[in-house]
Amino acid sequence: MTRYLAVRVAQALGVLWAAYTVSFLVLFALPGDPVSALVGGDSSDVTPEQLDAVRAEYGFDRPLPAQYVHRLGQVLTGDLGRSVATGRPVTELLGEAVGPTVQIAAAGLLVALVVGGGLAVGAHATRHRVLAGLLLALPPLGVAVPSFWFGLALVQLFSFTFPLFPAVGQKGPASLVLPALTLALPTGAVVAQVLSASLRRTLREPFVDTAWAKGAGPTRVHLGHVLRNAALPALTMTGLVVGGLLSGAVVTETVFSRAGLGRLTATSVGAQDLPVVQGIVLLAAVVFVAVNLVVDLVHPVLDPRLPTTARRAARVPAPDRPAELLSAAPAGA
Amino acid sequence: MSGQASAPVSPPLLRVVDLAVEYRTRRGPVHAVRGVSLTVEAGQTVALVGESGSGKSTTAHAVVGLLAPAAHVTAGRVELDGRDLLTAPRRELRALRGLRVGFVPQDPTVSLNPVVRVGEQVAEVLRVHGLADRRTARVEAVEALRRAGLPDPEVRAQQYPHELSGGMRQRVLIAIAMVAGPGLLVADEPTSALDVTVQRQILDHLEHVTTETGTGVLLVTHDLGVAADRAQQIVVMSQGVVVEAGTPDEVLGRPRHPYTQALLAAAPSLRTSRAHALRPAPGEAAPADARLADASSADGPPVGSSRTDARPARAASDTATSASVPVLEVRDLVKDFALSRAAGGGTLRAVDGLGFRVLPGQTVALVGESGSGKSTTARLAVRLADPTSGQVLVDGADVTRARGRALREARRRVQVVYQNPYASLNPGWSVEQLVTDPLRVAREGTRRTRRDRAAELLDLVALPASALGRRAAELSGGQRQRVAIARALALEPAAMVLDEPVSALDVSVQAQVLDLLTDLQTRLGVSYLFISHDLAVVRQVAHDVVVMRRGVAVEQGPVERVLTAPEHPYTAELLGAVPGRRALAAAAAASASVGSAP
Amino acid sequence: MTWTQTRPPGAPVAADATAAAADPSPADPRVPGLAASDPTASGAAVPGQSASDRTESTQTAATRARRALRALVVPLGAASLAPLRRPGLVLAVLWLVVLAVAAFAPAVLAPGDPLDGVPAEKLTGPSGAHWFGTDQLGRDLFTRVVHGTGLTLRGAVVAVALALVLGSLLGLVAGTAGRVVDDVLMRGVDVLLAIPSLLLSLSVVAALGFGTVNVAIAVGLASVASIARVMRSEVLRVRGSAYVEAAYSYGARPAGVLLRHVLPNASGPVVALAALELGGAVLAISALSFLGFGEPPPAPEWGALVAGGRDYLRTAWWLTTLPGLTIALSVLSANTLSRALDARFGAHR
Repeated sequence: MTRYLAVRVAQALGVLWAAYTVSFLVLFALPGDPVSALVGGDSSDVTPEQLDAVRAEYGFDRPLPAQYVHRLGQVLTGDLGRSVATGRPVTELLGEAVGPTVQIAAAGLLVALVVGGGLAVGAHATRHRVLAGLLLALPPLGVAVPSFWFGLALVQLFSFTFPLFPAVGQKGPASLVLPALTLALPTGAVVAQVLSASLRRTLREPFVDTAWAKGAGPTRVHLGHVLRNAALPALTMTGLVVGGLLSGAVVTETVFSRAGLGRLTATSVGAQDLPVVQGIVLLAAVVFVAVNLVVDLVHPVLDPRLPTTARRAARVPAPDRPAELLSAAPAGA
Repeated sequence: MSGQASAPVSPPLLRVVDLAVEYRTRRGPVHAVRGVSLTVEAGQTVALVGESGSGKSTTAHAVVGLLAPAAHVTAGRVELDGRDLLTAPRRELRALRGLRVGFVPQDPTVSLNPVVRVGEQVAEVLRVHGLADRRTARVEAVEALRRAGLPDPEVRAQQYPHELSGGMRQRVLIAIAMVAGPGLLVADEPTSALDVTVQRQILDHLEHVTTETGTGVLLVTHDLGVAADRAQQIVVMSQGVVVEAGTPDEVLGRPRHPYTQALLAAAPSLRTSRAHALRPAPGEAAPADARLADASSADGPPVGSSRTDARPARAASDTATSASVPVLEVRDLVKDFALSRAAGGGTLRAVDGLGFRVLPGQTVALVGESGSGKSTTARLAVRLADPTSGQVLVDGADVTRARGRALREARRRVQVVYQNPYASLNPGWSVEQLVTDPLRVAREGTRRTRRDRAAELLDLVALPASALGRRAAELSGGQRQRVAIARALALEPAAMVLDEPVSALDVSVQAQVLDLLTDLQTRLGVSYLFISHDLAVVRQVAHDVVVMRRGVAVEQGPVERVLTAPEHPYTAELLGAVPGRRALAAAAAASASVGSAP
Repeated sequence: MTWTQTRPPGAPVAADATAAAADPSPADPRVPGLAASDPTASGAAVPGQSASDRTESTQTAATRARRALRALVVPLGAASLAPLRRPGLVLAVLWLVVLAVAAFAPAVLAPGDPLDGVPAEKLTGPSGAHWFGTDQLGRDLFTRVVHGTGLTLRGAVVAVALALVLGSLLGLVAGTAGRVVDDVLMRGVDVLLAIPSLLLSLSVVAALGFGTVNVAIAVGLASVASIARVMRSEVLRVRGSAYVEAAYSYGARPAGVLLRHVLPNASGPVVALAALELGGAVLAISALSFLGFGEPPPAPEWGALVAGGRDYLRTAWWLTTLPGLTIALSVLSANTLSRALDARFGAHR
């Protein structure tokens, strides 16, 4: 077990290193002059000398491999550099932004799991085919609706037409409701689709017939046998779902004018503040890797078929076929 | 029988009356079961026999109330102890399932919940019906597993399904079905996923348990031999209707319905004669089984006659000379597989020192159960896998390490036909493309000559030329296998490796394909390496047989000798496990008595 | 323990095991012992197949005629009859056609100028004259949505095309070039998946700068990983199939197998995924333009239209709702098409 853990942690670190490399390549090696972006685009009042000074300050005058090694060394010591726009350390900015985002992400995830999971289970357990069809039609709809528009529609409805919740800001639990719902929509739709596909596959398994043949009731069959098996493949998608929450936060926090990681991302991209953007990307990768590590450690406990030494864990869980995301609705629908 | 004695007083254990079930599909209803009636008395075993699509499993599922969502009972009654189950409320049904009616499903490998311990799954029946509390249920579950013949039940109860073998899992499922002491057991092909020796053990045990407890059994099977051996009553179904019912003696000895007669003639385990004996001389029309027309005959004339056979029969003279060079030979073949670290590492020897020779025009059969290494051998023989050591010779030339052109030449001489014709044909291609592709790859002929050759090949395998434009997906299993055979014949190979070529097919289609293969051998003189798990099939087609177990040939020699006077105990065990032997003797006696009666 | 479970997965007896498990599709009731021996729900969906497999001792002229008819109708039916059973798919395709017209010939649908406003008619609700109402400058919203289609949709197409080319190539190489290459490429793909796609797109935009083209490239790069993954798994599936092995056994060469068997059979699911990614790209591009990283203001990109309506949420609901609905319907249509494609190609599996 300790050996397994060591291997997995090493793999996780490998992914992080690679994520750093990717973000470096994207941000600093793509064509486009980061320095002129830094000092304000095409402003002509900047002398070449000033540009060079900035280049030297951020190390952009050195060749790319040298920059890569230098920044990697900094990152390893926990130094993500300084924001170009504000001059503050990136770690500090990230630290401030994490809290509010965790709040709406947790609330959103909760809603997504309860509503999305409940919808999938309900649709497959009900004997009313029309109801099942209706329930299964919802997730594809949820995936298609742009969440920025959904957030605005919520504001229109529940802040203006019926003034129940504040439209902006982050004071008190009431301000959490609409952002959490906005964030939960795409996440919940994906949860419902993945779980639905898994449930549908599981329901076809002959062991479900065995359970019915024992005289077990619907609750026992659907929750005890079907969901217990169907949840396992869905569990491996947790990492992607959490990553999706972070993407959603960018839009949600902009719509509701809340401070947080998402807002920080939007403003940093707007200002082309590359060190901050790289910090956020690295943070997202850390979260993803950590979540998957936990899932991998929990998975063998829940599924006795998986040996704890399996190499399969090395692969990031994600659907290999579009069908796994698409097949939530029955083929006839 | 005790059931018959009490029949006038109390209603039968199970009575199915005029049952009709249809599947509602997008293309309209499919009538899977039409007016089926049958009765099972307490303590009696009734076998429901039929091929795929006959409606036998649907009938069994209707009895236990486990029909697929698309299936609907449109008429009839299913009475258990005189109470109609079809009109009973759901709650009442639930109370009966598991308690009065036990169900043994088809495939033990997928019929147990993979994430729940085996003991718990048995105990669940008792818990559901309130027959025991948590602790006593556990104790009783272990006891039920013991009664089901599972060794070390205390240990097994703590294990998960994937840790048990297929046979053990089937015993667990029997324990689940029997733990509450049901009056009726419905077993849906309980052993068809298992090896023949395991099948025999399981069926023996099932018989033992049900006789002891006086349980009535509805045994669904595709195997007439199994039915004949195990049942007091046989009900034969075809296309949704019961075509014949009676005791094994009646059904096997004096079958009245043509379908039963045909089924009987096709059942390999009940066929006494070798197909060779029935073989017509070259030039004579091939034996089309008149009673059982293959689906292909719907599209055109049946088997191609000598008129259309452009290939000269080079066989006859060749086969006679026993000194001829073997077409295919393997010597001291060894194949090791590295085991994954999860499985404990090391290597597994799948094939161990195997050697045999396939002479021109002859058939060598490799027989064994799953894991015996017979399919690995097939792959080695056609160089789709590389042996760890040993030699593969084609026409006397060593091709073990052949590469490139030499390898392609060797492969031309030895072609393969796979078990599953659904997987071995590119689903998007037309039959013409499929059959001519070997020629195209070998750059033989023009498009036009290849097309002519394709028609010729189809004729050879008794498919109409009109099939050329069809896609593989539009063909039936038997037709697809014929296409696969035609493709293998395209390059005029000296030998064909047939990897379980008929085990994915229904019995009647099986018989037709086997007849086709023997016919082709006579006409073309092609040799076969015939891989099979089915001794009865082997008996029909092979000249020599190699019996394999765990990679080792335990016995090899001429079919007549090995299958009548086996020297190795394992061969004897395999032979003893072939179903239908009991019944065969009885039926022979019965028909003899009938013959002498008038 | 018995020998059955000491067997390594996929090793020696694989052929034996595949023999039985080769075709796991429940629609194949003919593998004895594994599948149901009666028409199951799915098996019955192809009655033509199961019926023809039975031995037909009682074949009549009627069944023969029906079969002949079916042979005629089945290939046509896919094209002619299927749509009637799937009104959702028809609507989706129609909508996509309308979008295509809007993208390439916007003047056909909305002859006006999307940038030209009539100040006197500002912020009027939907009416016969202005189907989608007007904005704060009196510009016709319908005209703006129609003319914005080109920006958004062409961006999405560029994004998907980029992802399709790069992803398919990566997947194909990973699936064919051997284990080491596969491992390296797929680890790289794993890393791309570890970064949330919108964040990845935002990083690319931050590096490249704003504008429709850059946004399209950013969104396309973020989809490369998932396409590569599906392509690879499909390639591996087809390469492992019995019909490919059969082709090798009669002497086919690797390049021929790749071109004639692997690519045609592997591309179906990838095409289905591409349709799904098209919907995803419309969403992502709209989100980026909503955030203000697309074309600068007067350009009527869909996301920007919604963003522009934010300040008038209380008074002019149509400014956000109607462009938002347009986006949602477009994504839904692409996803519906994708599902239909997947079901079509899934039938062969």
